[in-house]
Amino acid sequence: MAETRFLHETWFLDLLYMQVSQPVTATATVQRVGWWSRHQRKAAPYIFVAPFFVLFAAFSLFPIVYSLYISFFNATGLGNWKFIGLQNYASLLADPRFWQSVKVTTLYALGSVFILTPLAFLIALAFHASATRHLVSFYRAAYFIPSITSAVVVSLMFVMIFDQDYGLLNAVLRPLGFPNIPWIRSADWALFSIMLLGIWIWTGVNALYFLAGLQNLPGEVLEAAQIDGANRRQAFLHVTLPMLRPVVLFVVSQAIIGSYSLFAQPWLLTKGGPEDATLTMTMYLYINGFSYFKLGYASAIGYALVLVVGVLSFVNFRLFGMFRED
Amino acid sequence: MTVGAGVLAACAPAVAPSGQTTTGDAAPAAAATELTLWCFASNRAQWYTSLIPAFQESYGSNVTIKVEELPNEEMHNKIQTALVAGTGAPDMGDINIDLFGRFVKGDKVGFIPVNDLLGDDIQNLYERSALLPWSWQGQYYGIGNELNACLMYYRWDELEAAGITAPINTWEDYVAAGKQYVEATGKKWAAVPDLWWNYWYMFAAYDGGVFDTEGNVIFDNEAGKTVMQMLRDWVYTDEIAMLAPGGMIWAQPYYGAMAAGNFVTCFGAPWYQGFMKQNAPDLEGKWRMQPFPLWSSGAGAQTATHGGTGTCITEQTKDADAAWAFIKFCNLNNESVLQGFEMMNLFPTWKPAWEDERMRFEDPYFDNQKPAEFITAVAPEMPPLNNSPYWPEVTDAFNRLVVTPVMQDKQSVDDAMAAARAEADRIMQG
Repeated sequence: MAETRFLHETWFLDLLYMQVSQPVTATATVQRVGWWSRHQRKAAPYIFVAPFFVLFAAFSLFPIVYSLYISFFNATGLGNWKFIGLQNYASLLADPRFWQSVKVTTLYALGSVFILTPLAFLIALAFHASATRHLVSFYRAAYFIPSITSAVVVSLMFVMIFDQDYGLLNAVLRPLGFPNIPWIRSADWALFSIMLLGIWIWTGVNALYFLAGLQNLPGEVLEAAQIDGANRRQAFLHVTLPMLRPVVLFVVSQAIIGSYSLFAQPWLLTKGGPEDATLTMTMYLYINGFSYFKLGYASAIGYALVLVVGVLSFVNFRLFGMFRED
Repeated sequence: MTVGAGVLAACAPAVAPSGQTTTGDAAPAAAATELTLWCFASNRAQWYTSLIPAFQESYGSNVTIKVEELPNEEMHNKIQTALVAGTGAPDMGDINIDLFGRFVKGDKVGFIPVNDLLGDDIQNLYERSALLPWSWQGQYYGIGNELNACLMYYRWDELEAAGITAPINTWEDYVAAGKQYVEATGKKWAAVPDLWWNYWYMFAAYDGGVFDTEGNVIFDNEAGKTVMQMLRDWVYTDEIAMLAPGGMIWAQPYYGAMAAGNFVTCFGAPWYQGFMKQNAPDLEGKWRMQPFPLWSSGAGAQTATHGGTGTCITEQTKDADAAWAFIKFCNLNNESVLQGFEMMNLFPTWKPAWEDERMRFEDPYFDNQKPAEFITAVAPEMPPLNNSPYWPEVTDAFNRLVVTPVMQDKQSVDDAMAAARAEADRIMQG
């Protein structure tokens, strides 16, 4: 009779004590079966995923937890860091530059959600129309290219395009009667210019998400709606849009998260200026952490960002009925 | 990854000061050592690399120097991170003058003081450019090899054509000449940055600056307000200047305008001359240099400092003796600094090198003038640059709350200075 051991909650103790059991044969010869032989099937999945988790723990989880830890310290410069409790968070609430970064980032996010996303959807509808379907492959590549081009290359290009005196954009607009617009030179225009850049970069890839959603809609549901007498507008509003809800949720979530983690483009174009007009939360975090060497304060900004994005994502999910059982 | 807080090991190995000022005077290290030096400027990387063979010949071939070039911001960030973590920092690092302030925050500095190591060599260094910008509380942490005495540059051909004589001795004369030029040609006299505080050294030249020797903020003193008002008036009242295309002196549109002759006077350090040559080569022979004008009251200095790089030894160095020997070899002897001068157009802070024939060269770009004559003449007037742990935050506040709103005519100088002062006070109160 074979003596067996089952993998249970204390299986890891077996690693330490290495107890073995052996089947007893009719010839009464006892064969010792090693621990690994008995547990390898159950241990193998953990071992296969271990490399990822080890790296994740070392390079993601630990920094995340440690950052929370030092956000409770006056971790400025080198030397002894003093525990100050929630003082960093209290200072954050009273910091006008922090609120300016929240305002800038939120405005950018609103632009992403209410300008970029509808625009992407309209483009997807245009791709999806039967008249242009033969050009889908071309447009798919053309609209996707901006999102895979290096952020540094794009930003440096747009520094020149947006230049007030010698830029390409003003060179096109001047003959049409427009003045030399200070796209990234004026606090009144800079954020709008960053949004324009964001639209140029991200509209295409978001259009592809919507296009994929449209192309995967079950045709029979739309046919059924038509049979029931729905016109095109009714079918679009009451059938197509609701069925696209998961795609819209995904695109809007990406827009929110992407907006609140925006750093490269405003950093390269304007360094947060002029006059903090394009200072995003992640940029303010970076400036405090590295330029000012205030690691504790920067960590507090990071967790404030987590809170903001978390709340907005939750609201977004509730709005799209993600938690409803349909 | 090493937990940073509480595990930093401060090491300050005892290094006997050297009393000699020539190369080849240090004893070789016993074992093979590779020292790393991080820098952010290609030309400096090339200069260091070119000096390694001669250094090894004098110090010993068992010491090798590995020069690694990283982007400016990234290099400083990595050094900071490594100093916090307690591991991973290079033996030596080129620290930008603008970014040194962040390293003197906190209870300790992650670099080894070099006061004792300098010994008598300190007498041969131009302290205000070589040591003060990388100092804190009486300790010198780096050696800067750039005597960045700023000068005024002018298109002598354009001035002559407009009937203007140079040199221009006072700021009042400068404005008058500008008006004459604008009236004669319809072009602008100068281009003033509005997105970056490129001309802040003019405050220093007029007994101003950012911090005083006690660490107090002084940018809003009489000098600061006067100079800021003067720059603003050049654009909007006197109408002799334009806002710099691109907003700053290192923007490509700025040099495009310079090359096109859209403005005919500018200001800057010797390294700025290199930018002019690189970006407007066709203007060779058409520029000349002169000291800063003074105020008609006699106030002001004929120069101030702008920019610079100091080489520091990190506390994580494997061999502080060898690191100091290399820094000394590069910066405290004639041959090395003159090689740097020829390679980088950087005027040395090592005073004995000023006597060398190579320093008396005639620069064809500046109509065969001798830059060394001007720089050595004005250098004694150079006001000191007082650093501070709050340098990054306060200069940032000055840039966004004073320079941009005033130069874009959105706010008066007094209001902008008041706002910047309030912000600086908030920053320094923590």
